[in-house]
Amino acid sequence: MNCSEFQNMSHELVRDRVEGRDRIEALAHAGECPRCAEYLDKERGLSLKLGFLSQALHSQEAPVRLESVLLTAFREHAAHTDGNGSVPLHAGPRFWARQKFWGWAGTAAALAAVIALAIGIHSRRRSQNEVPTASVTAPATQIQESAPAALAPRGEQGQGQQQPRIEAVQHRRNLTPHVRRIGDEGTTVAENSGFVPLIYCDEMNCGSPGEVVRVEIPASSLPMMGLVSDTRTGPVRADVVVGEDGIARAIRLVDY
Amino acid sequence: MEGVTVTAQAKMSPIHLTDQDLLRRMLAGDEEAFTTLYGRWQRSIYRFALQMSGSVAVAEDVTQEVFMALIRQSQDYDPARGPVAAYLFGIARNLVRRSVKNETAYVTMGDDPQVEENPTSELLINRDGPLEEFRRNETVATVWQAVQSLPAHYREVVVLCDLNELRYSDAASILGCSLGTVRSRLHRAHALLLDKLTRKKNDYPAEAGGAERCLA
Repeated sequence: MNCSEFQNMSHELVRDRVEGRDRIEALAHAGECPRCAEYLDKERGLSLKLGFLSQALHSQEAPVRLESVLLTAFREHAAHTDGNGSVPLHAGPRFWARQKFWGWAGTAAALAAVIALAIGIHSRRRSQNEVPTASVTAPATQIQESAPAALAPRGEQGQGQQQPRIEAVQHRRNLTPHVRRIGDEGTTVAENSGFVPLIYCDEMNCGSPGEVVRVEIPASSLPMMGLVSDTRTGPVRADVVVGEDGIARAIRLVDY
Repeated sequence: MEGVTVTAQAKMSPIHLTDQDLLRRMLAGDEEAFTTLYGRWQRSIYRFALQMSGSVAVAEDVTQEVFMALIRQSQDYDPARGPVAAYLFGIARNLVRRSVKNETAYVTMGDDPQVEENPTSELLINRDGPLEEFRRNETVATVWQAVQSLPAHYREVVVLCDLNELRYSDAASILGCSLGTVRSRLHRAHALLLDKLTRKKNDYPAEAGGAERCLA
């Protein structure tokens, strides 16, 4: 053992942390080398002084109030995280990368939902501003409304037969926001059927639900549909119930 | 078999659990596990901060922050990088460095101690006679000043290995350096301490001699 090795080891030697052959060699070196023996003595003296200091500081500890502060913080944290025991203690970088990914994915999904909601609200407002009437030449602005119960010949259909059809149409009504504005007129088939069955309507094809299309038709064509005729000329607004087969079932004049 | 072990461990008192088990329980919201872990390490952390900074206020702040970090960020702890104690000391070390960065770097041996409160002053118990007590107090105060005057990287190893009696391997883990670096720093730190203490001792007889002359 040389002096450098001895001095590197002297700290542990003083604290009795060197055992076996190393200890024997170190002590033998100290016996042969006066300089290292002196160094060992100094090291022992320093160790003793540091021991006094360590002893003096040994009873030092954090103030008691700190524990209560930390306990409060712990309880608050535990309450917020709901005792998050799902995080494994050995969670590695992959775990946290996955957590981060799903965090971002969740944020993106929430953002997409907000955008979709905003678009939905916007489109609904736009549709509310649209004119509900449509000319015959523009069937694209068809508006659904409950009506077909009126198509059944009165007196022939019982109450029990009408009810399911009304429900079916009301279900549709929920799906189409256009219906509601028309519905503001307070016209459900059951409540106020101003509809007049068209002449070719029979029991076979008037029972199925249909859609109400608001159209403008010439007043001169009203007698053809079995409606009263007066002296009015020009276009007349009317609601026409169109069946699923595309055939008109009934008609109701609007503002007539 | 594993279930039996887990059940047995669940029934075990927190005092008998390892730091890692306590931390795991703590993460699951076990308050007792936290208090046990706190009780186990608060003294060491507090003393480390006190011995490094020389300030009671800094020591208190650092201790609080260390355990707050344990509450909030304990999922950051990676067992592969060392024991829980090393993780706590590592946080404490960074906090102490940050807190003393803007303050006076080191206490010089000739000056009055720049600590706001001498933590060693009221701790010595009078087991011996008054003279022995006086000598011991003086020695402790001198060594305290000498330790405080060391550069931070030397002071760290003295505080960890000498004053807190940690193993070199644990100190290396806390300091993030090799075992050899701990040894060499400790060797150098002791040389500096011996030098400072010798110089202080050499100053003393002159003062004593002056006193004798006055008395004579």
